[in-house]
Amino acid sequence: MAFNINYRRLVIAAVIIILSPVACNNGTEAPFPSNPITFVVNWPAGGGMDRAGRLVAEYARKRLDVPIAVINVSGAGGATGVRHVAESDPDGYTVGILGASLVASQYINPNANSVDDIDIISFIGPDPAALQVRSDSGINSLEDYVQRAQSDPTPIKNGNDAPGGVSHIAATLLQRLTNIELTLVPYRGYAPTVAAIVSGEVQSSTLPVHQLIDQHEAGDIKILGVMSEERHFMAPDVLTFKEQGIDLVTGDWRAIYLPNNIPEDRHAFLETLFFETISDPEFQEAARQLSFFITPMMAEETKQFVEDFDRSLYPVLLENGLVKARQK
Amino acid sequence: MSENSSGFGPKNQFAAGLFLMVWSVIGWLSLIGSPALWVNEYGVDPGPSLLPIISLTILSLGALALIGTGALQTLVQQHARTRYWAMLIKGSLMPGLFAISLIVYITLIDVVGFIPMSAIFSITWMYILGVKSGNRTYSSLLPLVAIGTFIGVGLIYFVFLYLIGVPIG
Amino acid sequence: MITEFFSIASAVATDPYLLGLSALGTILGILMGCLPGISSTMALAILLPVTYAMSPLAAMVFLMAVFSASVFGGSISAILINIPGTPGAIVTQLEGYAMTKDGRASEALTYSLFSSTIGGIVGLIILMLVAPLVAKAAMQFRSPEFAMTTVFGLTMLAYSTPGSTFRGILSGVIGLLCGMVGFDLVTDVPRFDFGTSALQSGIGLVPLTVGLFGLAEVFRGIEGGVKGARKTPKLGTLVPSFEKVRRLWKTILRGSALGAIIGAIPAAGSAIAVAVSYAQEQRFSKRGNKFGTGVPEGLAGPEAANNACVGGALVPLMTLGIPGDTMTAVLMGALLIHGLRPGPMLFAERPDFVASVYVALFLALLLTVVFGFLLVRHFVRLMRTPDHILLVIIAMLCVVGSFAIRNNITDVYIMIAFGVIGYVMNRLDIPVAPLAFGLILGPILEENLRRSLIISDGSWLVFIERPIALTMLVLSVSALVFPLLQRAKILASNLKR
Repeated sequence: MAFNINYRRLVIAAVIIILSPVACNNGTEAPFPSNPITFVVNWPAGGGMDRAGRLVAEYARKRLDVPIAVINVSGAGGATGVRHVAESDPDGYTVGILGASLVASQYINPNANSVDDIDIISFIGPDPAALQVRSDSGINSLEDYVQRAQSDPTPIKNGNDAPGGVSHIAATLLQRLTNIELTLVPYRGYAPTVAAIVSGEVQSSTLPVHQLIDQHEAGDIKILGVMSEERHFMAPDVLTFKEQGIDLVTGDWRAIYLPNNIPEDRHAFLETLFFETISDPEFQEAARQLSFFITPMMAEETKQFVEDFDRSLYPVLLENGLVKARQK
Repeated sequence: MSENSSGFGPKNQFAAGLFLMVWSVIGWLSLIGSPALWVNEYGVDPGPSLLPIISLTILSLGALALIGTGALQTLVQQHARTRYWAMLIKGSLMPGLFAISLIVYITLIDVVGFIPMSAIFSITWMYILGVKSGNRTYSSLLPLVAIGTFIGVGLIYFVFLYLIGVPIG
Repeated sequence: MITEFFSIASAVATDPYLLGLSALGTILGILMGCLPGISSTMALAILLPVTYAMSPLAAMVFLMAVFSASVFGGSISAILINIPGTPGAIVTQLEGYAMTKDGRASEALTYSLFSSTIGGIVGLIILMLVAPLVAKAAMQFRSPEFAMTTVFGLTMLAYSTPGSTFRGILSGVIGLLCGMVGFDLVTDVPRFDFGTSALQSGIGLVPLTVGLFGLAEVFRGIEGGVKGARKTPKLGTLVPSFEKVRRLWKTILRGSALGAIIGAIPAAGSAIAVAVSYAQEQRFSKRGNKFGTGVPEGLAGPEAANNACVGGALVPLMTLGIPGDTMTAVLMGALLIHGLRPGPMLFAERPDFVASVYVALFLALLLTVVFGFLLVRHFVRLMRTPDHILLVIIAMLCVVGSFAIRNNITDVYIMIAFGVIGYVMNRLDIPVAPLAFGLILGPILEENLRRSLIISDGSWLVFIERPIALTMLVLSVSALVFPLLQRAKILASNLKR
């Protein structure tokens, strides 16, 4: 008998739970944001983009009364996550983080979104590429490297991403600007590339600075140059390419974006929120620990940056036969 | 032939071969339909079509072998009539219905919302399967279905949607 | 190293806060690991921000507990509902789920818990004693070796799959083809995508295994009119008799050794280790021909190997600063946020830190046993839920779990498709496990094969010139040829008669 009573209670509880979301929607309009915000990372959990995204979300949450849920929508080289945000309701409750892959995949992948399909609201920072060589290769400077590549009949093997990836683009740009021929060996992601150069399968790599900083300090690997405007805070002794006479600035970067057509006030709210979060010294300190370069920018500047990046990237992709989706 | 001794019936051989053949036909069609794979300008890289061709060749030959042995055995051995095909289709009826209802379920989650749609799906199938299993009276079935739905849907909602924030529905 | 290990161990063992954290991490890890769709990586990534405010030692204690416990959690769902939580658990279910169907679920879980703990400890000991050596050996493993080891893994699997070897190979080939869906790594050309963006990201391992094993099993339960799909599990005694465990000693040690060594190879580690261990146990076991019907050796060996890989996977991270898989990548992120950059420098200069990682892992292993034993009983009790309720809940879990892994609705459709495919393959007596392995190993094989050729400038000799690659190649060929020779002999003698 006792069982039956329990059953009845549970049935009632079940009905209440099932109906409760219907009842919730009847309230009056609260000031934005009144619901949890979804923060979309377009790469899988555990990677650099995920780390950056979760850190930004964590610090943005402290400035809000509502929670931020970080989700990973990955696939198709980052394009799936961008699509998820681009096609979400333009109510300001879906925010995303993305990087250079957006610009590349709009040309490579016919099914990817273009830069115009989304609204980039703030810049987090660049993640410049660099050129690393094994110390036992006997190459000591960028000049040596170029000379070796031009004179040696067997091309230097360089470890990088699949075509269209950031370190592949860096390697291609390097070839173009210095007139050298490398054998580009593709790896799936940064960690396998690191393993490849450490084990000696390739002689050089075009990875971001922080990937091999420890080996650089230990002396097994030498970073010949950084492909950024200014030197990297983690390797202040390493010259930039520009300082060495080669005008090569490239690499990944990270930015926050929204779907298009967000109401004016919510757009402004989110733009300020993320700009302030990224400018927060406490956040910047945490980000430095994770080896992220932080240079906050508001929407206007960020859009200009992305446009410039787009312009420098297009010829590289065209040359590699990677412009398959839309022409420029 | 090992196939003979492993105790597969001839019709099973034939059906398994057919199943594998469907895969290889779809594979070949897709491969032939993507001209980008046939461009041979990859230098020392054997290209993106090498492994697909090897795999599809193995699969097609294997499928043909199974179909062949199946057909031969049926002709030679004059097996007793075992309504194999009818049994195969009849047995798959309920699972097929279940699969279709799953697709309807996930399509409607977006429209109706996760909790109501899951509750409908869960109550319906728990009830149908409960009746089918036949060892319960209708009155004892209802509370059990309600509790099962409540706990099942509630738990999934709590862990996946509430705690982790999975954006389904 | 040993002195640091003990001094930190005693510090941790007397600190109720750290013990509590480890316990919490263990429980969360087991619970998250056993839910389909929450991978170890996801569990770690979700819990990572919690550790930002902790001390580095506390963060390590907590995350190691989650890491190690979620691997065991993955085995729970493999054994109870035929859904492997991690790639390493795919073999677990071959024997484990067979035992569950036989009403021996708690026995299976206990074997799994026992052998995974020993595997984990052996892995840890090897990590502690010879990490730099293992790392050096692992660095000898380059693209040609990867390619040939993968070939070896595939042949071992084809050779050991329960059921027909011939059909096993064909099923593995389907897996290879599924692994090719999406963008090609070397050229970035989409393959087998049928022109839709849905298939461009490829077929994920989680949707595939959840469908192929989990949902297919639900279909099978429904087909059987629900009745008699499974025997109701007996709770039974949890601790198997000493005699039973003693008989598994060698199996567990063999599995552990394999796992610790193969686990240090980045990316391929656990999947190949369990496949090799399963094949090996089938060879050694007197009940080899009964594999697939619930033989403890076939469960204990791979489980030990799977968990020994945890230690192995940490080797490249600790010694070289290279995360071998996504799980160790999250751990690396956790260390970075505290200003600790794992790598050769940290390994040489901060033995106390290195020791604290070992202590954290050791504590996690111990607590996994404790909470594992406490929880197993309850998990098994869950299986006493009437089938018509349980099957529907599992089906919904399959849907939400396959969605949650990438938050992509395509994955759910893929999961359902593979549910149907798995069901059909069961009906037609085509083994399904090789398909899943083909999907895991196929891309690794192709990528490394083609990369080897790029590096060797197109010369196929690269696979023969390098000793490790050659060994693997010879082993694979002989594994395929010897059974054929034997069969030919039997056939010949049959013909004579």
